[in-house]
Amino acid sequence: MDKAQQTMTAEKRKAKIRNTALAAAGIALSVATMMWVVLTDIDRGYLYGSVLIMLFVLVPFYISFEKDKPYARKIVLIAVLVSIAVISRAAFFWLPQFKPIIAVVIIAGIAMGPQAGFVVGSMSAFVSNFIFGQGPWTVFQMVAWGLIGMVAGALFFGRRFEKKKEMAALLIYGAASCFVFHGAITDLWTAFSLTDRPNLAAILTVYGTGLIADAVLAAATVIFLLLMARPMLKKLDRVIQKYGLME
Amino acid sequence: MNGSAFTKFHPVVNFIFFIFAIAMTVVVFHPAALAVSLVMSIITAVKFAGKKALKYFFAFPFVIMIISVILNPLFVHKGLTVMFYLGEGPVTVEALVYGACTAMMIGAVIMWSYCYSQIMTSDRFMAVFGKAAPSTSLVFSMILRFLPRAKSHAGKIAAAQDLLCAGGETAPENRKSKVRKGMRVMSVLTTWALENSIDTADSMRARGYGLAGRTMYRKYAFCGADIAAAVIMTAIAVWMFAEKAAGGWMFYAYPQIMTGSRAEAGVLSIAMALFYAVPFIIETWEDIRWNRSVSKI
Amino acid sequence: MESISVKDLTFTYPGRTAKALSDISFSIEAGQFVCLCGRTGSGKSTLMRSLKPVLAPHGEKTGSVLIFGKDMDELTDREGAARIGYVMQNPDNQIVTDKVWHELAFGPENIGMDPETIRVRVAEMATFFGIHNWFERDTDSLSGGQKQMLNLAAIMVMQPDILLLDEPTASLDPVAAVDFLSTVSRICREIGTTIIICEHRLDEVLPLSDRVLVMDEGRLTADGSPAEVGLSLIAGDEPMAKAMPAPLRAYAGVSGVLVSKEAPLDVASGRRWLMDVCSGAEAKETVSDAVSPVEKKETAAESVIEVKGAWMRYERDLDDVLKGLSLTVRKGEILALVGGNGAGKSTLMTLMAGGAKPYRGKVVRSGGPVSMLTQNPQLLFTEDTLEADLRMIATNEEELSRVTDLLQLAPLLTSHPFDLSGGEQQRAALAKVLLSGADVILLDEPTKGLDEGFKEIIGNALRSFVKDGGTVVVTTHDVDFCARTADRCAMLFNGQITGEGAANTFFHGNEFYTTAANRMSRGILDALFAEEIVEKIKAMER
Repeated sequence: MDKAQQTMTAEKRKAKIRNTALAAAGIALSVATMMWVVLTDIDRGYLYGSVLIMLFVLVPFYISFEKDKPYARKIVLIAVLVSIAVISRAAFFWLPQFKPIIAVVIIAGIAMGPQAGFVVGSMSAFVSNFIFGQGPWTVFQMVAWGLIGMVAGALFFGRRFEKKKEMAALLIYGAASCFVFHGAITDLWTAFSLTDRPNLAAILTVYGTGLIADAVLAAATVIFLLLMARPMLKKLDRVIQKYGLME
Repeated sequence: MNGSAFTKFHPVVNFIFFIFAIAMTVVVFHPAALAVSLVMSIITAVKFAGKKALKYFFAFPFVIMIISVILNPLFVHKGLTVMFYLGEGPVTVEALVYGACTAMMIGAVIMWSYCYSQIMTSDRFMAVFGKAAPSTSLVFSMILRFLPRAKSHAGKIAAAQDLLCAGGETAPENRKSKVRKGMRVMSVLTTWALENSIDTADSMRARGYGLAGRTMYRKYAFCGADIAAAVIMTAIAVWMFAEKAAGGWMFYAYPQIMTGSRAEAGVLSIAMALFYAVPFIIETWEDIRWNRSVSKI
Repeated sequence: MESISVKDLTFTYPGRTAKALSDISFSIEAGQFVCLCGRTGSGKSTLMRSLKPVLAPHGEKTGSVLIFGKDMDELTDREGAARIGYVMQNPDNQIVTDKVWHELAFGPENIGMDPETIRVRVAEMATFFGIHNWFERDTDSLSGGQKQMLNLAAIMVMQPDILLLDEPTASLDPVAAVDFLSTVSRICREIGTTIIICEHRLDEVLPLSDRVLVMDEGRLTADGSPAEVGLSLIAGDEPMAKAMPAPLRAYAGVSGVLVSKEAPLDVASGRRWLMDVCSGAEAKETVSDAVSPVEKKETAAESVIEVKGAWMRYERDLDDVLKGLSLTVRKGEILALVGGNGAGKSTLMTLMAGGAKPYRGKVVRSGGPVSMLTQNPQLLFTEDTLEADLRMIATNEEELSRVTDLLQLAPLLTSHPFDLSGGEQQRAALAKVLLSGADVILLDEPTKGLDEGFKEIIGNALRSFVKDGGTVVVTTHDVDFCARTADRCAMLFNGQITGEGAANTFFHGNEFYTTAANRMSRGILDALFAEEIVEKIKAMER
């Protein structure tokens, strides 16, 4: 038993080192790309650079997910949560932009941690775009929603929001993430592909037109987090506990 | 798109095509190349998905294209050939042409993405990524398994709750009650999905999931035609990228529109059209062969 | 060679004092077909799971399980996965991937079979199971029966030596269930796999079994050939006696008469036995003598729901599900709708409940509020505990306690609805319908996958609801339940009512769609139930 535990902690340590290295590589490559774009004068460099950076964020995450060799329960829970997120986007089709999907992604991150949060978020974007339309924005949206889930996991993993203060923090994060991640990143491709060099007026227009939609999404996220976060986390806890008895 | 001739090629071939198609559209960025790409993407989409592809094009990418044609000259005042002044800013021909190019690029990329989602079904996706990313592609397959099931379950929940309580006589719905009902359905659905997922995990473990040394069943085999198609497509794509680097696809919008020789652009465009036409040619070739074999009977 | 050998197995779940399994010992020869039966909660599932390495429950365990002479704890993970197959109850939950071919390849991939072998095995098994015709399809597009067949095939591709099946047909309709069970029997005969199966459908399983194990309260109470075990259960008036096949129960009731003959397990042998018993006896009574009192009541009572010439389809381009159907539900009766799959029963129920409207014809509801229970009880649970869930719908405390008593739910009130067994969930859902305050309740397949004890509870609850002035319409595939509980039956076929009548005359008139006892005694004694056969034989003797 002791030996098994030792090898397990050794493996965990190895995984931690690997994941940190992957994250560092991703960040380093992203920064290098940014410098390259800003310092050189390549035609539409911003568009290329932003796509590259998106890949430098996505790929390390998925490599770490693969290398961790997720358990059956983790795989199943991720698949179920992504499905729920996608359905929640489709279920409220009659209310444009007023979707619980960001709330579901945030809850997934809180319940399962940053890495699973990223996977649930980015997968939700990828899969739901089979219904809502694939396009160049898919890559950007995958990163945006992945980060929403990841940061939610990093900030709130293990919290259950019994106190008002905690809940308030969650709601603020929910609203902010709709602008900071969803709005800013998803629309990057539009801003960069419209003009050869990003120009302030064009970017402002792109973001300006998105602002109302983002605000509706933020409102929906706050409302759905308020209504769903606690009951859904309770359900997840129950199932994770039930799984724990089995494995 | 099961049964179409292009899908009889190995999924890796399909995938290579789409990656190069989109990459060439973005990188080459020459009016002739963009026009070829856009036209071919629409033709291919119609060949694969029928009329609904046209509907999609006019409902969505077309609108974005128009916006981008209009926006660029309004915001970018570079260029020497001034058409007129709008307030203080000069509206130039160059900016308009550049806007049209971005419009074509956006339209083509969206339409190629549309073709991609028609062709790359989950098992084809698995065949490409299964080896490199087994867990991710398994999650993808499980999501596609679970989604339709959960969707029909959501409908059943709503119906069952109505039938139980109001005897089917549901009150006229307003937005608030609709949202509330949606929430209730989501809640029951979540419980159901999570609780039943335990069985699924059991079923996976009972069948040895998580053992070391997982193999991959290969449903698709790589054959001669696949290699030929992959080589031809890669060759053309590499040629195009090389030409771009060497200045063959020369195109500058600012300060004044400047292109390379028309003859050269013409030759390159034909080669590029050949690339984009691969799925279309394969489909049409199959149609002709089929018709001929039918007429022989 | 013994494939499984269990010695003094005792098991206690963590935090409980009662033993879930106590002192279980048995061993099974390779290639045997063994049926494990017992009431719900007797420890069958715990025992089944204890025989499969990764699924074995955690808790306090003593005793040993040997698989082909090797202790189960010493099996490698790979052996445990490949050599012991496990099929669970819910066909949908077990399917992991979205394509049939991928599901078949999933197990072999996990245990690291090389791709060429996988290709051969998959092709072999797909052909054995008749799956090759839907090999390329999405798993979601399959019927329940096909899904369960796929689950079975997905395990058989790993070529297990032992196959454990935990109530595999509980959610299937009778035709699919028989199909599934005969495939399992084929696997046993043609491949030589050892089978242990838990089932409620003993009528179908016992004739296939070499051996029966019976469990009660965590103990093994009987072990022997089906006829032996069945006769001893009936003789001892054990709870499981009611679940035995009707021919066996009839035989046991009068076994003093003709003990020399082998005990009958199915209708054919039951008929032969009955013919022997009755040969030389005087001509039987005719059915028409028995004028049923129900028939009179039927004409007198007012109607609560009337369906007049209803035509119904789900989408414009689809076929009609109901074709000019007319039906009257009368106050105070239990009306059973029977018929095969896709006959339109559920559609008719939804129509009567007001959940859909016919595009031609009409539905008149004149008997007060209507409440309908759909097939899957899991659709209805919204709360964390059963009590909270029932309180959502209950109008007052008295009602609540009356209904919980009636359906024997009191000990379950603090449980999470999803922790209940299938039968308990069905009862809980029925409680919700009874609490809804409706005068007319419509129940779609309330007895699916239930054991005899639960069926009786539900039958009694319906009777008492009707006594208090309610009306019940129920669809069921369970002919026996129908004959015992319903006042009137109507048969649906191809979107129309093809026959209706008082329950007893209705079944007497049917050749196939009737109880096993009736099929067995048709033209000889014409009885509906095993007890009736016994009575009639005894009367004849006098």
